[in-house]
This record gives sequence, C-alpha cells and structure tokens, in this order.
Amino acid sequence: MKRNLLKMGALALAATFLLTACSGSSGSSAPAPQGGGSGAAAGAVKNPNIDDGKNIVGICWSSLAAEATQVLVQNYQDHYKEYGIDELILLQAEGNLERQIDQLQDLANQNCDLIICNSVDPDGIAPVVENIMAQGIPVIAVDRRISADIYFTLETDNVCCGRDVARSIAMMTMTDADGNPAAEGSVEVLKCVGNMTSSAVRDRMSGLNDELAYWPHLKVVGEPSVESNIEKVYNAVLDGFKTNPNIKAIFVVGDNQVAPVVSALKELNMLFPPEDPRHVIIASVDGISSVVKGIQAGENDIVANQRFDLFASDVLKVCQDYFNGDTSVAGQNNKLPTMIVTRHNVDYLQKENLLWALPPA
Amino acid sequence: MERTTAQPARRLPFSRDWLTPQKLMLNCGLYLAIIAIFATFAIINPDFLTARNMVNVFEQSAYYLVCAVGITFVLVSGNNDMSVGSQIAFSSVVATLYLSSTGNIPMSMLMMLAFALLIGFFNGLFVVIIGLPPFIGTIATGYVVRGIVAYYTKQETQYGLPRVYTQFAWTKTFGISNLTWIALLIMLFGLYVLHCTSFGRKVYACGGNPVAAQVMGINVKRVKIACYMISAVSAAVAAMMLMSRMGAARSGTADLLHTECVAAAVIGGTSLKGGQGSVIGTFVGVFLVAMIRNGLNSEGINSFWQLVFTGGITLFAAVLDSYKSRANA
Repeated sequence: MKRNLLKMGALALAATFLLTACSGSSGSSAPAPQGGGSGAAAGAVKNPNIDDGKNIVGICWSSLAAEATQVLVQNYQDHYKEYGIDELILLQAEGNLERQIDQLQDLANQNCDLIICNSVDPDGIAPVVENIMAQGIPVIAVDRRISADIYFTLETDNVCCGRDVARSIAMMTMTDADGNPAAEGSVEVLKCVGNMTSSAVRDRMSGLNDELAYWPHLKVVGEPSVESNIEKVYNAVLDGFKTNPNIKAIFVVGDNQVAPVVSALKELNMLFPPEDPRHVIIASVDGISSVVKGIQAGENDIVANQRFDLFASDVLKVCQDYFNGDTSVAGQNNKLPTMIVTRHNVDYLQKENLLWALPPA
Repeated sequence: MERTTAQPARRLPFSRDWLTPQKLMLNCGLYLAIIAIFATFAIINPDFLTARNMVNVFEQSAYYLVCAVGITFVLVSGNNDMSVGSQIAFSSVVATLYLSSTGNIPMSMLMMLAFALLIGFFNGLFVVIIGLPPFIGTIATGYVVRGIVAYYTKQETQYGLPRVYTQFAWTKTFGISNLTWIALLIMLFGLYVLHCTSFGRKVYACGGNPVAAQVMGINVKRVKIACYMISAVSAAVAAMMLMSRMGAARSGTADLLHTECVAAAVIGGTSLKGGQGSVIGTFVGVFLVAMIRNGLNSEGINSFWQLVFTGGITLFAAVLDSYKSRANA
C-alpha cells in the first residue's frame, strides 16, 4: 500500500517534469516588468498572435448580475464582427477576484490578440494584467480602472457622476414644503455604500461625499454597507427608517439596487408620488430601463445615465484600430460624462434617443 | 466417487467479474468520465491538452491543492472544516497589513502560521472537545475571523506588499511557476504524512471507527485537533500563495474555497464519513476541477456552467462512493 502510494506520488512528479520538458522553457524566467507611463504601455504592445489571420478578442467581465452590464455585453456580442473581430470569447467572474485572475490567464493562453477587462478589483488583478501585457497582449479596461500600465482605459467620470447625483438631491430639497429654504441639517440622506473594491464605486462615493458635505441642509444619517447585495439594500432601508423616520433621500450606487429600495418603501407605506411632501427621493447610477421607467412613473427620482452604448462601440473601435495597426490610443484613459435624468427631462431625453436603455416611444 | 475441492477464486486485477458493467462503473466510472471530459475538450479545442495549458492549469490550482491537502486530513479524520476560505482571508489581510508597514516577510509568515495554529486549535476545541457539529463550529470560526478583517479594512483591498513577494508567484523555475512547485512539495509531504507515518494511520483509524481507535489506545481527540491544525496551516500557506499571486489581500477572498476543496477531495475518493481518502485522490480531484474550469473558460462558456459541471461530477463521485460503501458493507 505504502509502496503503491509512493509510486503514484513519484508518477505525479514525473508527469510534472514531463510537462516541464514539453513546455520547452528552461531556467528561471523573470516576471513581467512593472511600472512605466503611457509610453511603456504603447511599447509593450507587440502581439505575436496578430499575424495568425484571425482576430480574437477576449472579454473578462467582473459580473453580469446587473441589467446594465448584460446590455453592454450583449452589445459586444452583437457588433464585434462589424469591427473586424473574428472571434469573441466572453467570460464573467461572478465578482470573484481569484476566478478573474484565472480567466485572464486562460484568455491569454487561448491566443487572444486583445483582452477587454472589467475588473473585480483594480489592484488585485494588476499583477496578472502586467504579466499579460508583458506577453504582448494589450489589455483594455472598461468601466473600472486597473492599477497597472495597460493599453487603454474607458470609464465613466465617476467622481463627477457622484457629484452630479448629490447636487441633484441638494437642488430638489433646497426648499421645504412651504417653499422656505431648508434649515441646516434638515434633509436626512441615507447613503447605501456599495462594493468598495470597485474603483467605479469608490470614485462615485468620493464625489458624492464631497458634494453632500458642500450643502449644509443635507445630513447623512446612515451609511450601511450593502456591497452588491440587494437583500442588504432592502434591510438597510427598513433599518434606516426605524432609526431615522424622516429620511428624505436614499442613494444607491447602482440601478439594480433601486428595486429593493422601492420594495422596502412599499413595505413601510412610504412610497408617495413626487408631488407629495412625504415623497422619499431615490437616486442611483446607470440608467437601466426599469429605473428610467420608474422615474416616468414617479417611483424614483434621479439617475446618472452612463454611456453603456459607447462602452461597447468605442472599445470595439479601439480594437479595430489596433488590428489595423493604429495604436495611437495606447496609454490613454478616456472618461465619459454622465447625464442626470429626472422626471423633468426624462421624456425629452427618450424622445431624442439619448437614453441607451429606452428607445424613443 | 471423484471428490472435488472448492478452490479459492484467484483475484486477478482484470478478472471477468471485475469487467461486469456494474463493477466497471463502480471502480472506473469516475476515471472514464474524466477521460470523456478531457477527450471532449481536446477535440473541441486543440490548445487544451498542450503543455503550456497544462502548466497554466497547475499554476491556477496550486493554492487550491495546498488547501485541499489540509482539508483531506480533516475529512479522513471524520470531520469537516468550513472555515478555510475565511482563514485565508484573515491571515492574508493581517499579513498584508503587517507587510505593507514593515516589509518583514519572514516575520509575516511566522505570524500567519501562528494565527493558523491558533485558529486550527479553536476549531478543534469547538468540534472535538466541546462537541459542536463540525458544520456549525468551523463555520462560526470562519465568520468571526472574516468579520474581524472585514471590519478593520472596511472591505477594501489591502496592498503594498514588497515587490519580491509579489514577483515570487509569477516567477518560473524550470518552466514551472514557483507556486506549482510549492504545491507539489506540500502534496508529497501530505502524502507521506497521511500514508506513511503512524500519525497518518491514526487519522484513518479515528475517521473509520473512533470508538475502536480509542480502545486501541489512540488519543482520538488529540489526533482530530491536530488534523484541524494541519488544515489551518495549509490554509495559511495557501494564503501566502494567494497574496503573492494577487499582490493584494481582501476580506472577501476565497469565499467558496471550502466547497471547491471538499468537492475536489470527494471527487478524488475521500469519504465524507471519514476513514477513507488519499492525497493523490485529492490531487486528481483538484486537477480535474481546474481542467474543467479551464476547458469551459477556453470556450467562453458562462462560469455558472462551471458550477453545474463541478457539481455534477461531485454528485457523480459521491453517488459512486455511496454505492461502493454499500457494496463493501
């Protein structure tokens, strides 16, 4: 028994050595170089696979749980061939950093010419991304930054987005029901803190906090950590109203968290129409169809509409340019503005086809 | 009258009896399934069975293997450890905080091992001495340690590890990642301890029949607590590997690691009832799960299907194990 087990162990080790021999590399190899500026990113772009006659792009998305990301990823799938891409390998990491690291390695192993990544954690995936860049495979970050020297980044200006939402809350609550200026600290705000490992959420919260502090009539009465969990959002709202029954505005970091807020308000019999002085303002970010329709129906009030349409088309264009030899965007970080949607402008924006999630009626 | 004497049946490795469909399925079903899966992936994707991809799979599964080897000890001893993922989160975050401020790598490793021994001891204390069910005792420990680091870090990623530390995971020696080497060494060490030492035999005895083991003079409680401490130390080593690989640590890390490691061990033939299992089997299980994940990733198949595949194979392995147990009874 003992001898058999040792034999099996030796066999496993021998198999490993065989693999080593087959892999054809000997000696120690250094890891990917790190650091450098945008020039380094451009310099790293030299893909050995680009001349194999097939343009393969890998997408590694942090999670497809939100409607916005599903729409975005669908856009990639629907349009990639129009941009000269032959094959698109799409993976999602379910918000799991370790899984995303493995998936990025797998994509690099599958001879992808380019990798598009929406990171679970900007710092956590930096080493593997640097490694992939060093292999000559450019990495494009979408919606969330990566703390490494990569080929191209396209993201929303989330600091500005957070500021815009907070300013909209402030403007909507500047006067009380009688038209008098709101007293200092009289408007209570519940701020649901999202998954802070995301650079987008961190930036959004930073902008929001700065702007909320600027308006004296606003007072943050709760900052529950709800991560990306809609049950936690629901419970946070219920708990928030137990301790602070005069909450006037609720902020959530993503549109997928609006539904549990509405449900909780219904549960509390606090869902009033916008004209009612008891109405609780709900503010969020993304611009998915259900939330925009909610604004039209008077259930929720403010959404910062992200440009998910451009997240697909602009990035696919960058891929197309790369395959055509144009690497002029190397090292760039482009930030897209958001647009605040309220019940005052929602119909106009829809009519003008400016909402990515809602086609003109 | 001719007198016939009953001859004992010679047990040949490939006797006719062994080749009946039922026996074949019981003894080789899992391996046939593995071959079928590998063949399917290899046909679909020519890059699947390349040495480069195999090395990649070994690298990805290195820290799983280390953790799974530790869990195998606990499973064979007749218990379960639901806290390994949380232990990894705890020790990696604490060590990263320490390393980012001091840069003292040996001290951080010692600290991780010390914490691991302590957590392993507490797991053993709750389950073996106090008598809590392993599911409750270890999951509670896991919640406590993960909760502590989540609170102190506000769930934010901790980074600032020394460069030499993060380089280690991405450096290759003889064409294979350093992490893979470490995993293989730990696997061989685990193999030796579990199968070739008196302690290993005691672990099997305690898992197979604790009452009989006690009668034989084995200190069952001590052996079971030691298994928890081995599992915790394995988790600490896995945490070191994960830190090096990610260059960071966070409180939410490795949340599903326990289930994946147990699945790998079960696939490899370890019985959840204790007393059965092997480190080599766990190695096969970890490798199989990693290969499935890799094969599905390569085809761009949704990761939820990976869960379905892994779950299906785990079920298959568990059902086979159950049938084998009944057949042997």
